[in-house]
This record gives sequence, C-alpha cells and structure tokens, in this order.
Amino acid sequence: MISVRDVSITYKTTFEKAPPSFRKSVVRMGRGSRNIRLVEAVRNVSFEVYPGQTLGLIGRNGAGKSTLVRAIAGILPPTKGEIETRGRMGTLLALGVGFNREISGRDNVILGGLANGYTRDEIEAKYQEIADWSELGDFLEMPMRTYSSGMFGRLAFSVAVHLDPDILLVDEALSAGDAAFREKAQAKMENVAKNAGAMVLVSHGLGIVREMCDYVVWLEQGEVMMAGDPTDVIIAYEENQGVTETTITREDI
Amino acid sequence: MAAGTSTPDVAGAPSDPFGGVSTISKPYRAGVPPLVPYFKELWARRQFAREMARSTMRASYADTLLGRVWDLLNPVFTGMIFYLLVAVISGGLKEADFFAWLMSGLFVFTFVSTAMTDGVKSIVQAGGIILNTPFPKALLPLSNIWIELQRFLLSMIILFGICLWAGITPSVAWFVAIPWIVIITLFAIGCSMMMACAQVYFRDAGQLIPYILRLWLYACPILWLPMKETQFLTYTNPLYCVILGFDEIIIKGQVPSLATTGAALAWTLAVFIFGVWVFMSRERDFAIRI
Ligand SMILES: Nc1ncnc2c1ncn2[C@@H]1O[C@H](COP(=O)(O)OP(=O)(O)OP(=O)(O)O)[C@@H](O)[C@H]1O
Ligand SMILES: [Mg+2]
Repeated sequence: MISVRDVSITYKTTFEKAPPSFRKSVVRMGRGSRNIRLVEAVRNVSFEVYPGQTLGLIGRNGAGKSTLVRAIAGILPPTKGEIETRGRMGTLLALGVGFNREISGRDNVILGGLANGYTRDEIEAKYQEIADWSELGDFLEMPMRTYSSGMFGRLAFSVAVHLDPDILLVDEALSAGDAAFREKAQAKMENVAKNAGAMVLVSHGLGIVREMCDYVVWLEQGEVMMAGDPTDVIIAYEENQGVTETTITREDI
Repeated sequence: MAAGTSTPDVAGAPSDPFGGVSTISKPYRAGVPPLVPYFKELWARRQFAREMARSTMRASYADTLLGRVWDLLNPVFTGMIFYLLVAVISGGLKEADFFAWLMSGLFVFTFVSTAMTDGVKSIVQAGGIILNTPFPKALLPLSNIWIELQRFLLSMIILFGICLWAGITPSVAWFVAIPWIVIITLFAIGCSMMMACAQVYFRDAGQLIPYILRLWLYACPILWLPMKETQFLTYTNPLYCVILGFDEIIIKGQVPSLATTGAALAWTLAVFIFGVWVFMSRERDFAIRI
C-alpha cells in the first residue's frame, strides 16, 4: 500500500546561468550568499494505491513524475507532507541498476541487490532466473558500458521484478525496449500486480498506461492537474497536449 | 527507505527501514536518525560496501598492466621521492632508520589523506546511485575506507621489509600496532565522512583539500623528527600523536607513552564522532542537493 499525503518536494540546487565569472564570484562571496536555486518539483500531491492496484503517472517532461517516484521509494525526503508505504519495495527507476559502468552486468545485479537490502545468497539464488529472463546471454559478463540502452533496461527490469517486491515502482523502464521485450514486460508486470502488489507506473506510452492502470494521475508542473479513470484522464491529457488520439501516441515510442 | 525518514508503525513489525514492512517518510529535519536501527541497517549491508569496494578497485585497475601491484608500488615510489626531497633539502642522505621513520609516517598519512580525497568525491560523484536506490549513504565513504585500509595493510608488508633492511629488530611491541591501526582507521573514517558531507554543501571543499593536505603533511612528524621548535604541534595537530605513536611502536619498538596515547585517542574520538554525527544527521538532505 502506498499513501501519499499532501506531499511537496523541493530540490535545492546550486545553479549558475552563465559560467561563474571571477567578479561575480568575488561579489557573491562578499555578500556571503551562495546561488541556491529552489526547484519546486512536486506540490501538494495526495493519492493512495492499494494492494493489487496499479497507478499511472503521466505528464510532460519535467512535470515531477520521477521526483515523486523517488520520494515514494524513500530516496528523497518530502519537503512537506508525508508518505506511508507498506511492503517490500522493488524500484525500477530510470537506469536503476548500473552502479558502475566499468563492471559486468552480473556484478551490477549483485551490487544492486545488496544495496536494496537482499543478502548475497538471496540474489545468487535468483540470479539464474534474472539472467534468463533478460535474454542477455554472454553480455552479462561484459562491462555495462558496452550495453545499449535497451539492454540496460532489460537487465534493470529483470532485477526489479524478480526480487519479489510487494510494491513495484517503474519509471520509464520500457521506453528503450523492443516490441518483444515490452510485451514480455507487460505480462510480467500484470503478474506482479495480480500477486497483491501495488504498482506505480510512469510512462509516456499512454497505451500501456491505459491498459495496465486502474487509476491515473496527471501531473503538470508538480501539481495534480487531473486524476481518475485512465481513459478520461488520458483523453484530457492528449487534448491539452494538442495531440489527438493517433496511433503514434497509442504506441509507446 | 532512507534512514531516519522512517519509523515502523506496526507493532512488532521488523524494523527494516529500507526494504521493510511499513515506513512513513516525513520532512527532513537536521538530526541523528535512531541509532540502533541505523547501525543495524548499515551492518546488514556490509557486504554491499565490500562488493562496491571490490568493483571500484577492479574498475580502477581495469586497463593497467600491473593491476594491483600498483598498491605496492605507489607507496614505495612516494616514499622514495620524499626521501630524495629530504636529502636534497638537508644536503645529504640520512641514515637508513630515518627512511623507515619517514615511510611509516607517510603510510599512516597517506591512509588518512586518501580517505579525505576519496571521501570528498564519494557522495557528490555518486549521483545516480543516490538518486535511484534507497540505502544508508554512509556505505559510500565506508567502502572507500575499506579499499584504503586494504592498501594500508599491504603497505605494512613493505614497511616490514624496510625495517629489516634498516636494521630495526622486530619487537613484541609491534603487536600494539594492531589496536593502533584501529585508531588510525577510526580517524580516517571521521575525516572521510566530514569531507563527504562538507562537499555536498560547499563545493569549494574539494578545491581546498590539496592545499590543506600538503600543509598538514608538513605539520606532521614525517619529514622531520620532533624537536623543541615543533613542540607546539604535539597536541594541536590532530594527527600528530596518531603518527608519533605509530612511529614509536614500529621504529623504536616501544609502547607509546600515556600522553601520546591519550592525545591520539582523544583526537581520534573527537574526529570520528564529529564526522559520523554530521554525516548521519545530514544524509537525508543529500539527495535533494545533488
Ligand atoms: N537533481 C535535481 N536537482 C534539481 N532539480 C531537479 C533534479 N532532478 C529534477 N529536477 C527538476 O525537477 C522537476 C521535475 O523533474 P522530474 O525528473 O521529476 O520530471 P519527470 O516528470 O520525471 O520528467 P520526464 O518525463 O522527462 O522524465 C524538473 O523541473 C527538473 O528540472
Ligand atoms: Mg522522469
């Protein structure tokens, strides 16, 4: 179960529009101020996801979807509000594995599992299944810098779904996959969702969102623009975006 | 979930804040997370720190011909260069046991200084990991320390060789080196966590470090022997007694004096506790500042 109650998240980032000039730096130092920019990525968002349900998060680039998912995963603390989760988390954030691009896929799988709190034995036991499902074959022994983005996605997805999560967070993981992989991944996600898991799916592929989700939240500049039945929200979103229902938006590109 | 964000709210539920049964994530306030669950979590993931260290090390030597032999060669080369420097400055080669003195101090200093230079990078350059995986961030500087400790222990083999060559006879007091290495390691952990945290808030820290380290090297009894003029450094330089004690054990074959041991212990505990405290009380804030 995931419960997001009135959550706002603000990034504090040091950011310079132009490369810092020497004079500006001295002036700034004199004032004792540093250039901290606040980015309000998520504002007053609330929703609940119950076991067996799948929530879709849609919105334009930079709307705050990834930020919200990171907060649910417990990575970013909310600036305001609170988030409650029950169950073991499986996170599949954009490029979730890939600790070290210099080491092999296999080592990355183990490292990723250990970071997520699984024991070595648990991961070793699952490894064969993960490897087979990803269909990467010999590439698993190669450094991850030699992987294509789709191969990256395959491995990340395979790890996330095979570690038996109660809550599955999927952010943009399918975008680089080929048709065969996407079909397989969708079946797998439906399976996880059926096994009483709660799932949050972030995707620009509106087709898959409509098919899989019970409930859709549309974020716009960090705020909930609309929430409710997938078909209604997606139609409104498409109209807002100025694209009408075409095969292009239906197929995940 | 991130440490301290989360309090198990089901009575009797396993308190595994990172993968666990029930967690509530609340706004960040500067403050130390509950210590027992935090350290439990950290301990549970010690394998991760080790694996991380192993893969970092493997990656850093990936394309070199000599691979891990560099772990042995690096300290030897550095030692010889400093020995030459001292010989040039003082106008003549010094005795063999001065070389041993220089090397033993230098090895300790290198442990601490690499802990700081790697520590500075450990959080800020970890970027992707921190934004995509919930885990206790302390594992990142700790995995660096694990690498440095291994290198330090390897350099002890060289030091042993140098001692034999310099005519220093092995002594029973050398066993005291074992608890002393624990002290050095705690000191390094404290420094590394302090720098890791400092870099998140002030990106200037990384620029300053090389100068601080060089100055610090000159302020330690490594390139020179303690004399009257340097006495003021004994208790004001945090690393002074840590290095001096190690030298006394290895070179003189003595158990360090009470004053030296006391000062080394006091500074180490201060540095360790302060470093771990600032790190832990701030680590939840790291993710939104990267
Ligand atoms: N590490 C960061 N530091 C500062 N600001 C950030 C950071 N990450 C994201 N942002 C900002 O937060 C806002 C939301 O970003 P987020 O990544 O959540 O968008 P998104 O909805 O996932 O977009 P996309 O569809 O492109 O993946 C954006 O304005 C972005 O610039
Ligand atoms: Mg995103």
